[in-house]
Amino acid sequence: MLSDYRFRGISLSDRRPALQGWASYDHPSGLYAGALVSTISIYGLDPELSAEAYGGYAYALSPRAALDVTVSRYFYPESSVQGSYDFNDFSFGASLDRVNARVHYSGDYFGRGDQAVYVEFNAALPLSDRLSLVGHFGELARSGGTTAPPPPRFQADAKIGLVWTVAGFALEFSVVGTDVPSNQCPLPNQSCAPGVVLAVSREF
Amino acid sequence: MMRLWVATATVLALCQGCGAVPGRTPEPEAAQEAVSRQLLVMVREQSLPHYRPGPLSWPEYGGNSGHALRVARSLGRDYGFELLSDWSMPALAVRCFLVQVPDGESPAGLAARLARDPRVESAQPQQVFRVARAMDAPVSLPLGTQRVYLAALHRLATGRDIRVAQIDSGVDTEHPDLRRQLAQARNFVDGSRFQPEVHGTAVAGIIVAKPDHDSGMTGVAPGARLLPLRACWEAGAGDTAVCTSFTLAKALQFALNQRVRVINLSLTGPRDRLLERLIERAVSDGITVVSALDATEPGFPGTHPDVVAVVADGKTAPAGAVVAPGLDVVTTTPGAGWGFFSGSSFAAANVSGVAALLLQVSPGLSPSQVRELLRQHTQASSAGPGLLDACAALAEAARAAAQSCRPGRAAGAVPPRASAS
Repeated sequence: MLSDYRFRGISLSDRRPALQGWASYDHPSGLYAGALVSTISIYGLDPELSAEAYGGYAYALSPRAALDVTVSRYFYPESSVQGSYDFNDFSFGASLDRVNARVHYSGDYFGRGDQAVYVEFNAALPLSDRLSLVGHFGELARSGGTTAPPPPRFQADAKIGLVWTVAGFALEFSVVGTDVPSNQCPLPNQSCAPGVVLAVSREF
Repeated sequence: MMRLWVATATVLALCQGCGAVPGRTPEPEAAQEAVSRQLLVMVREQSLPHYRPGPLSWPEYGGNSGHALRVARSLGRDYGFELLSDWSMPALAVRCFLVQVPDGESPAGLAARLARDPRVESAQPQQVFRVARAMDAPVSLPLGTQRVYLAALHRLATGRDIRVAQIDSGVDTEHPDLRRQLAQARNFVDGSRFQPEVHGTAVAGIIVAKPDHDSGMTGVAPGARLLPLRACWEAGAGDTAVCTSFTLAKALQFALNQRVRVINLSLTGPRDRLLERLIERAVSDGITVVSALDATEPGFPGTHPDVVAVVADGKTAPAGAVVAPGLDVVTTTPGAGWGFFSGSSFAAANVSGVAALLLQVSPGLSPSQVRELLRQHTQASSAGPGLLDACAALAEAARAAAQSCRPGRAAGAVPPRASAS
């Protein structure tokens, strides 16, 4: 459960709470697959469902370092006016301990025909056995596309937060923001403005 | 060749506040009793770090504890044990669970049954370790007392920027001789916070102390950066401290991720398979592991062949052990004080400091090369029978580093020793 569902810094839940469920499977060979289902709410409409299905392969360079490649397919509610927002994402990541970098590519970002490259850096700093400071920075670059008015060619997003794990639950408190001006934000209602996100999750 | 007493340091100030901080319970016997019905159960961490969407993008990316936790809960239901705590050990690709053996069940019997369960990577008893005796007596040294020959060593090296992990009881991080010498301090003892304790503070001072302006003492490697990792806690009046397999394993795992070159273990206890594996991992990662060896104690980890085992001078030294000063060593105490200490713990601290010096002048030295240098210059030292001649070891490491610059030589290679200089 999240107080606000942010995707690359932009709220997909109209800055309102969202529910998510996900499942994942890891094979000892390094192959993995999973899916995430989430409520989204845009343009002030009632919540609808979106999903992400993904699969990939992880390779351990050492006990501390790993590489992985992932293919994801994002599914969003279809718009009678805009058509499908679904898109594929190909990504490559490298991790060392609790730091990672990842590059994503999509040839049809959100179904608008944009070519998009997203580079992200993530880190977690354990503060105690149960508490971690987490940080994220991402930069999206895109070109082409049919969106009008055209969105910024470059947009950055960042997050800093604390994650507390206790009794099988994980609680996250974070501050998320982007550098997208309100008048260029693809979604209304200050969806690109900085915000506080509270999340509670439980793994089974 | 200069005779070396690396153990003692220059003390330029009167001792202040040498009293020990209050001790913590449980006592060693109580700790032994508490852990006698605990086991460590290792379950494989099935997943490699990889992309995962979800509400908590971090730190979940770095590992999936869910699988191991599910397995551990299932084992708990099947065998009737209670999960007390857990810790990821990526160095061994396992998650370590501390479990309470149910009443009426033999801990050894349950460990054996669990070890046969295919869901379990390994299982073993939780064990107790002790640091060696701590303080002999607080001291009030005359101003300007100088008993050491560290200045000659420090003309060659100070251990500059070598990171040393000290797995011990707590260190007084505000001690004027230590506070600028520390990297990050961490606590691995559940139920208590990082706090200044006698043994840890004393060992830290020997390794890295640096005088605060005109007063204070100098450790063996004042240029090194120390990571005080609290895995032991004082039991009783502060003359000893105890640790467990679990707290030590957590600290070792942490040290493995911190780019340290030396790990100091001024403690001893029974042979422990989990700790053996982590030590072997550390050595294979290029970390020199130094441990105290006391003939009156069980001896692990000093008995491990990959470890630099250190005996205090005046004690019986087994073959292959390094002998270093460990009698009446002056060092830091909690509360901005200093005191005299005796025991192999403090001899080991001296050797960890020397290891940092060796690694500064010859960064390519492997743990086995460091160990051999220290052994050679103990066994045939001009400093006397069986006492480490750190200056000779350092000179040889410097020669090796210089020769490694010549074409056709591998970096860090140690040439055969021509003679005992």
